[in-house]
Amino acid sequence: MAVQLQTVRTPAEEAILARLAEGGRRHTQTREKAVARLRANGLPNRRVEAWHYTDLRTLMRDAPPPFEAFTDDLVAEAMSQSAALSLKDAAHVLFVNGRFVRHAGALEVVDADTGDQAAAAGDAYGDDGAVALHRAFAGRTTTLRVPPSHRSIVHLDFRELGTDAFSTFPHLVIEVVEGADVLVLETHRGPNDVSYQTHALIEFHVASSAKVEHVRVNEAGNKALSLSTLGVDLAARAAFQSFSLSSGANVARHQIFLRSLGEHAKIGLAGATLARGRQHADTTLVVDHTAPRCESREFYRYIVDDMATGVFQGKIVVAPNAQKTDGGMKSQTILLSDTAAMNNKPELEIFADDVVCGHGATCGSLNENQLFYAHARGIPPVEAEALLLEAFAGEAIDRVGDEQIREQLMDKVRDWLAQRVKS
Amino acid sequence: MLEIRNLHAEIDGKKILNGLTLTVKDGEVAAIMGPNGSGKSTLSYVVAGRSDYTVTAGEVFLNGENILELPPHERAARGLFLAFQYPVEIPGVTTHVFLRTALNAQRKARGEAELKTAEFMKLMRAAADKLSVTQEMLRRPLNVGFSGGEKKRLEILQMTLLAPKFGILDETDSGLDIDALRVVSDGVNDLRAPDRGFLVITHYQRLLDHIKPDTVHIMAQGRIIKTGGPELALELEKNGYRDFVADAA
Repeated sequence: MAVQLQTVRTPAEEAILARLAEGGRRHTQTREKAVARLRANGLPNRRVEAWHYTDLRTLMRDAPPPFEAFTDDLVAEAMSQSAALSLKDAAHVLFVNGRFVRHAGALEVVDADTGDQAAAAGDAYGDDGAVALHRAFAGRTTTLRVPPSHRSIVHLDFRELGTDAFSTFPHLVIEVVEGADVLVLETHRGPNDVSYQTHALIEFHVASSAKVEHVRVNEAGNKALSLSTLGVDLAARAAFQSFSLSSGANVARHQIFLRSLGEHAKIGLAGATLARGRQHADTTLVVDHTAPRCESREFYRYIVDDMATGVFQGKIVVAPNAQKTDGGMKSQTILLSDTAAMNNKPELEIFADDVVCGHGATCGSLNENQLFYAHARGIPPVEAEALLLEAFAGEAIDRVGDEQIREQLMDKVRDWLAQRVKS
Repeated sequence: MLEIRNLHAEIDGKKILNGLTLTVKDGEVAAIMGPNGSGKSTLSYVVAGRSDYTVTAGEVFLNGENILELPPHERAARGLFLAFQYPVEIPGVTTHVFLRTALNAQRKARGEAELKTAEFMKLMRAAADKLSVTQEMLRRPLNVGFSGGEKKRLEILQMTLLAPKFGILDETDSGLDIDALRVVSDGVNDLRAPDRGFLVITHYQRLLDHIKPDTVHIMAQGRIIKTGGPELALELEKNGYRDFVADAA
């Protein structure tokens, strides 16, 4: 006799399953699989290894309804507000409450009902709980094609608006053709004091010798739950760099599933996370080297204050044939209070024998010697701390190639630190 | 003027300074020499205000004001400067940004107007040229990857810019080759002024050939055991500390 363990469903799980039972969504193989997963496993929780430190059964109190009330007024209101970051000469692609609204600039954009995209992508991350949740509800797919000509600059500008709780499920596929060169800025901004939830899935297919620089800024509102998945496939000699600045949302998880499929791909992932209050901020990476002679570098910095929690999980996988892989991962944290917490989980899974891979994780308070040195030069304690923290985050931001973006990211760090002084 | 009276200090319950008394007048350069473990560096840290040392008795006056109750940055703003034996590396903070932040913080504390970037750069360039500190060094993170000589030159550059009323040089000669020693010493000598005193802490007579002291103090077991003129340093160099320390015990 088979024994089934029945866990009590949380209100969020109940709401999700009830909504799925309503139907009305297009049936695709991918969605059926995702729905089956959700029915069987519920929300990802601490019993699932990859979600051990970000237990959605506790952190996701409710599952507000998908946003449907799109009106011209809503779009007009969104357009009257400012983006989290501005970028000159960018093809501006605007999403309001998860839905593609318009784009300006030379770029091919197709927005359509979801087909079976994931099956085509090989579905490398279909088992993930957040991806399943996204696929169960995602309605449309926006596809961007980056031309091979000159360097393209794209701003994916996500804005959330509203006063009542809602959920969004945007899905983007970005196809970067052979030899193309693109800078993609992805910004998220939304209202404070609204318990909205964003479930985003952005997939990059990067063809051989193409070059991508991706910068993500998450300034979701203070009650928001932000789940974000970045899926990346890299062909031979492709270069992919991604930086993420996370300071928004009450609960945030940004996960990157990256695969190098051809030789000599070059990967650089970096990020700075600033968390305070009771924020929970998670970055989870899986860098899967499936082809030989690829290089990957991960560099993450966290500043965690008050009663906030940071999570960094980084897994480097090297397949048996991926010889000559060169991988290095670093995660460093400064805790600013006794009640702040950081969970670091670096992992290496190496099945090839001729590789160079390493990881390092540190966690501590501000360096007393550095502080005293600054004090002895006449710099008051508050200013000295800000100087050191700005420098600490700045070393991650230095990994961003575009100067215009780098400066704005530094301004955001300074703003965050200035708020710390005020409170 | 720096006046230290009967200073007692300890760290982790261990007594390091045992009733140290010392006066350095305006315009005077005083040298402190002493064997390893005599408390020389502790003295510099305690005067600068490092919090891991506990002062159990005594007073330190800078130009008549007892500074022991002041936090380190306020001591600096009142004109105290410590050139570190081991200057601290601060990754991510550009050297010139650090210097400007320090100078403007002190100016602000004294109620003076902060310097604009252009004014500061002019001041910094002039000082840097004298000390053979290159513009490239000033653009690098503070002390990161600097050689021993570069770090010490940068300490003196900071002292030049901050123009303190009193400078303490903690083994500034350690890690310096002969050429660097000369550059650093010239930098210090340039700053000698009738209204500015110096306390030069060193192991060796060598530095005092370049920075000529007015007085020489020998320190052992946390206090001054003998005071004399420059000839005292020469005597030490010849005979070592042993006789002095034995006499004092």
